[in-house]
This record gives sequence, C-alpha cells and structure tokens, in this order.
Amino acid sequence: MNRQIGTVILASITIIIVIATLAPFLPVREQRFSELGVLGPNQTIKGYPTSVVVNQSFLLYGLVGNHEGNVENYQLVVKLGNQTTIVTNTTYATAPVMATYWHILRENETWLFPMNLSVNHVGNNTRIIFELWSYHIPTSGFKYTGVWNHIWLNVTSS
Amino acid sequence: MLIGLVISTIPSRSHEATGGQLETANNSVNTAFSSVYRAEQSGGDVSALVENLNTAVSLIQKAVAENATDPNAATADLSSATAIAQMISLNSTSVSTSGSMARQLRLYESLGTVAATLGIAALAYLRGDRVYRRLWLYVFRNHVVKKNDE
Repeated sequence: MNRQIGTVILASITIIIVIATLAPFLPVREQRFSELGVLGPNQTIKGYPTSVVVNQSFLLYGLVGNHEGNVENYQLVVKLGNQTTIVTNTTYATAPVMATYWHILRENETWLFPMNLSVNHVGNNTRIIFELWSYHIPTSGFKYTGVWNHIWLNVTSS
Repeated sequence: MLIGLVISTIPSRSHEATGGQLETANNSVNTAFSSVYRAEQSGGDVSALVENLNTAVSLIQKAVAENATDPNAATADLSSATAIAQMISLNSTSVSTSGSMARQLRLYESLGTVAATLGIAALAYLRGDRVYRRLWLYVFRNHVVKKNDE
C-alpha cells in the first residue's frame, strides 16, 4: 500500500474515533418545547362534544408531552371562558378554573389522562380553555408556558 | 352531661384536612421536584424519583377530591404525600452525587480512549512500516521460494 494513502486512512480512522468518543459530551442544539393536546372521548382528534347539558359530565382526554430537555413539573389548568375571554401565547385567561391536572414528566415522556368535566351554567359559545403551566424553580411557582388550547360548547338546560 | 354535649359538638379539627396541610404537601412536592431537577442536571437517573413524585401528586389530588366527603382520609393522604416528597428530597442528594460521579467517570473513560487512539495512531504512523516488515518476515520465515517452472 502506498504510504500516503495509508497515512490518510490512519488519520481518518483516528478522527472518526475521537469524534465518536467525545460526541456525547458536546452540547447539542435541539428545539425544546412542551406539547399539549386535547382529544375527544375516543382518544382521537375527533368526536369533541359541541353541545352539553348543564352540570352533566362529559369526557375529554388531555395529552401533555415534555421535549424540554429535562424533567418538567406540569399543571394543566382548565378554565371556563366565553367569546370575550382573552388568551394568547403570552397571556393566560382570566377566567374561573374548572379543574387542574398535575403530573411530572421526564424528557420525551408523554402523559395521556381522562378529564371528566362539567359546566355549571347555561350559555351559547361557552369556551373551555386548556392552559399548560410548568413549575419555575427560580420563582418557586408555576408559570404559564404559553401553550393553550380550547373547545367551544353550547351548554343547554336539558 | 353538659360538658359531654359541648365536647361532642366541637368539630374534630385535628382530623380535618386543612388548607395549611394542602399547602405543606404542595410545597413539599415542589421542593422535591427542584431537588430531582438538580439531580438530573448532575447526570443522575431520576426515573424512580419521578415515579414516586407522581405518587405524591396523585395522593394530593385524591385528598382534594375526597376532602368534602372523607376529611380523615384526605388528611392521611396529604401526610403520606408530604412524607413521600420529603423522602424524595433526601434521596435526590445521593442520586445527584452518583450521577455526577458516573458522568465524570464517563468523561475520563472517553479521554482515555481518545489518548489511546492518538497514541496508537502516532505509533502506527512512526513505526508502522517497521512493524509491518518484521511481522511479514516472521509470518513468512519458513517460506521457501521456488521457481514457477520447476
């Protein structure tokens, strides 16, 4: 074998081994995010109720996923809003809380859970708002992640 | 008899789940979470801790749900949740320590592998030819060269 070719092969193998060995210690830039999904009673993205009777329980499923790169302490806050309730990626809704679901998730873990909800007053265009909050260690409190979802409901008397 | 009546009408507050107990349990879980987070950042395996932490969270949620109907059970659940969370906080320290030690060991192993690879590569570059020739001579030391047309 030509000495020059041998040197190139040797150098290539050496570089590959060194990079492969040190790769786990090099910082990786990945997109970090939390995911929130609201599923219908069949755990699919269809079959959502559009009309419910007041005080009658209806079933939905919540789905929360952690892709933040570390363990996260989540609370899913369900609020009862209407057409005028404002909720954005930066502002959480100022509305009565219907229920709170709490779970701690490791990286790349998802949490699927049932939500039995009911609305206690009649109204058209009632809005069920789902907000994802996570525990913020520096402030020792839960902080709005900016991730939210909603469904519209007509709540009838019978 | 009057004293007996008065005593029987005093609500047994010690068996009722109070807001203070709920707050204590919540704070214990959140404090434990902070410890678990730090343990994970140190490279520790926090799977078991997270599982136990979720057990504590479930107990708190159960206590909130049953407080109106069974305050004694709610109090017991909140106490259990607090105890679990405090245990997690304690265990997090050892998980954190073992995690950082394991991470350091992995780093040393990797640096050792890199040093060995570079050393072998340098030796191969500097002495490779000589070693190859010696090896060739050793392997073919008994080889008898014959003419093809013999």
